[in-house]
Amino acid sequence: MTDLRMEETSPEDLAQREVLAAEPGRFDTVRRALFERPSTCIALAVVILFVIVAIFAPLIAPYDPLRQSILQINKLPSWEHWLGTDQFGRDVLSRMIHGSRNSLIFGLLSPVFAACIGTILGVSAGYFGGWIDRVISRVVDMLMAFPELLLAILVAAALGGSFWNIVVVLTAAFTPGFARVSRASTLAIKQEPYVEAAIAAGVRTPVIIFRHIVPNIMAPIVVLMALWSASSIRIEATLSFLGIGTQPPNPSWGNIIRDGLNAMFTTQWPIVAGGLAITIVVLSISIIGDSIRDVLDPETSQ
Amino acid sequence: MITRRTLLGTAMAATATGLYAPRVRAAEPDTLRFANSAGGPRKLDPNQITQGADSWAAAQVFEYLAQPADGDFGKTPDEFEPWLAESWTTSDDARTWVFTLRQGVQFHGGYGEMTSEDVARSFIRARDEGVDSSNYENIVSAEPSGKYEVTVTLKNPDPLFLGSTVFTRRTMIISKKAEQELGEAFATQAVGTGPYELERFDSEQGIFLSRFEDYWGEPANIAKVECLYIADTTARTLALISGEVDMAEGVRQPGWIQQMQQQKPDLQFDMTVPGSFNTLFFNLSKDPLQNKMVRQAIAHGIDKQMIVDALQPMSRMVYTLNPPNYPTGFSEEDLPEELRYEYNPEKAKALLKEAGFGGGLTIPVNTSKREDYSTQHLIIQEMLRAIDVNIELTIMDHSAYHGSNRQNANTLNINSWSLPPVPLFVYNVYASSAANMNAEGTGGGNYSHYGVEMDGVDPLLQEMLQATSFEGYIEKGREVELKIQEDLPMFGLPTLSFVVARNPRIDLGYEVTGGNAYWRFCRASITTA
Repeated sequence: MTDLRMEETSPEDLAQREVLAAEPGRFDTVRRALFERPSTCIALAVVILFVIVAIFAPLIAPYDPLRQSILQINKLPSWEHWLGTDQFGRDVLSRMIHGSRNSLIFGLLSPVFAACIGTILGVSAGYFGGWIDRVISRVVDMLMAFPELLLAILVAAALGGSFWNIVVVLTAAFTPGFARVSRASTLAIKQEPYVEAAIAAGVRTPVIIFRHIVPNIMAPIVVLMALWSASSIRIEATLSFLGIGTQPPNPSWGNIIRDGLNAMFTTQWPIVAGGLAITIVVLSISIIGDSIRDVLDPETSQ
Repeated sequence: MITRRTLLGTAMAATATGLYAPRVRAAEPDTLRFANSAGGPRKLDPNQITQGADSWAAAQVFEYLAQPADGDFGKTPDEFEPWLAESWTTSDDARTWVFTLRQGVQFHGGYGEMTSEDVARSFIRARDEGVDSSNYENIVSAEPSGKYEVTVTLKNPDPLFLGSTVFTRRTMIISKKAEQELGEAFATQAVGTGPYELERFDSEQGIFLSRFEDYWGEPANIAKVECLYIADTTARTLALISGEVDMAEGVRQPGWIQQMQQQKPDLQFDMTVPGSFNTLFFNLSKDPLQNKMVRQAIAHGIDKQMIVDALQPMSRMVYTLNPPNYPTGFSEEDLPEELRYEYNPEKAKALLKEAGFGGGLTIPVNTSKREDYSTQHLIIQEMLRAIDVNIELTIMDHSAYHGSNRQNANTLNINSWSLPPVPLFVYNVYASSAANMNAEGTGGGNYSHYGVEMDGVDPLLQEMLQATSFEGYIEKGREVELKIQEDLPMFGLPTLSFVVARNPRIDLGYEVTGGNAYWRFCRASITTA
């Protein structure tokens, strides 16, 4: 009998069963993304370590990062100063530790802001269509024509390099990407039967958007956030290196390298330390981003 | 032996050279290459130069009527030697100066012999056109009184006329004929009488000069001089170390000279003493700097000795606006105790409390990216943190910084200038109400608005102008100096030598001890190939 029933099952039924098969839970997805590959585990550990250092910077740093000591200019590493001192006799290790705050805050803040704004714009454009879509899409196209570093340099040079200016600039630079991705995903989700059913049942628009659409387009947004956190840290370092990012005397990895360049024949440690920190963090975040993408992408996750 | 440090240093130098210095060339046998810290040349006409770096080329192409020996300013009238003028006389009231010109002096490019017409024109255009014309307002007329004689008449007596007017960039002698013929092009193609003539003015790379074969005096030793522009400090430093350039403008920040000596022990450093005045201006139009107690507190909160120590061997102590070895400067012992403003954070805090700022004070300040400015501002920022004065520093491009100062947008700006030992000149550009900076950007260097926001030294300067003897003039000048110190609209910070690092293959031919922030190359020679 069993065999007979199997034979009677039509291909349409099989397809239907596959669709109804339980999808992996969110927790399971996160677990797969972060803990399945050793490289991702290491990357995650590195990022967590840097976040802990940034949070507890005042407790960890051996010295005040701004305190100058004219008698200790450009010193090589020693027991007192593990990474030596800079041209004002400031402890480079303490500056690195405090600098991680600026770098990481920039790294997280701008992509998060950009994700919020970009998603609102993209979902609005995709869901409502019509003139709203046309206006938002054209503005997004226009903004995407600017490379983000160029845009950041232009605005920082024009408005000066204060903390919020840089955050605003990077947010503006990243928003179009999020808007475009969320618009495309919204267009796809909008055609799903459950959305059509919700509309037919008279569910209010905000509820449809926040309950049915946004949760279902989060995957690509999260991937973008991870990838752009790395870009954001890199751009902040570039701007600070050029002198238009974090303003001295406040440390950031970029301006520690800039300062170190002028004393590179005496002590190379500020450049090495700043460069390594940026490389390691950017690499780690990129690895995590790649892993999340691999897991969420149906083609590569198999 | 290759140590880790050598390896790292070499690797970084190699990387940075690749990034910054695309034009690596071997040292040429008969060329002197000088690199200064600006982005590119703007002007060659000495009366139109606004960028200090351009003066280096101008100093080779143009000459003065009289000048002190190479390597320093003339501090007294008898220290000036005849140059394009063979001799001069001055009237008893120091208002009329007659110069007898050297005969047979040829201009570059076939513009003929220098005559009194050219000299008269050079003085008049300094007064009527170009930059700093307000400094030459004392000139009533400059007229030829013979083919080789010029008479200059002054409004007020000036016993230091040679130092205040003759030995300045603006009155370097130019060819009147070339000025008329070339029109606007004269700004970059200016014609002078110096030992080097202009070969090529390249607004990207620099100013290229070659020996002037018809020079009236002893011809230059080295055939060619290239004044190159390398704004990036790292690139300039590497160009010097690699031998791409022979001389480079130094970086005035802590530890730079020491690290260069470590990297290339035979490098020579030419330094002017005292070099640049570094003057901290209190902008009296900004809150709460009108309050004298706040200004005094800031003065007491700055440890000048620490600045001197940090910037060794370039920095020297000053106690008033002028350095102690200048005619109107004061030594510490000469000053009344209350005008010494000794470093005393406790006193500074007490003054702030009395002024109503016991809880601290925040002042936004702009500074320049150029190392000497940013270094001083960063050191001062850290010192004032100890007396609860929070300086919010914005570091900007050098031109933008000067722009913000000139538009009254700054509060505690520093100005760096290699000023001559001509007291009236210093007061005229910094302290007189005529030099008041205004927000339209047309004013002078009185960034404090001294004499406008509060009574200043104008009456004393008028008295100084009437002095006919050098001694009387200096005595009045010291009164001005004390009055400024008491009113405290500006505060003298330690001076900083202008430094040029020189490859030992170049012998300058004389020792640099002071003077302007540019010097002549005509006596230089190449000692080794």
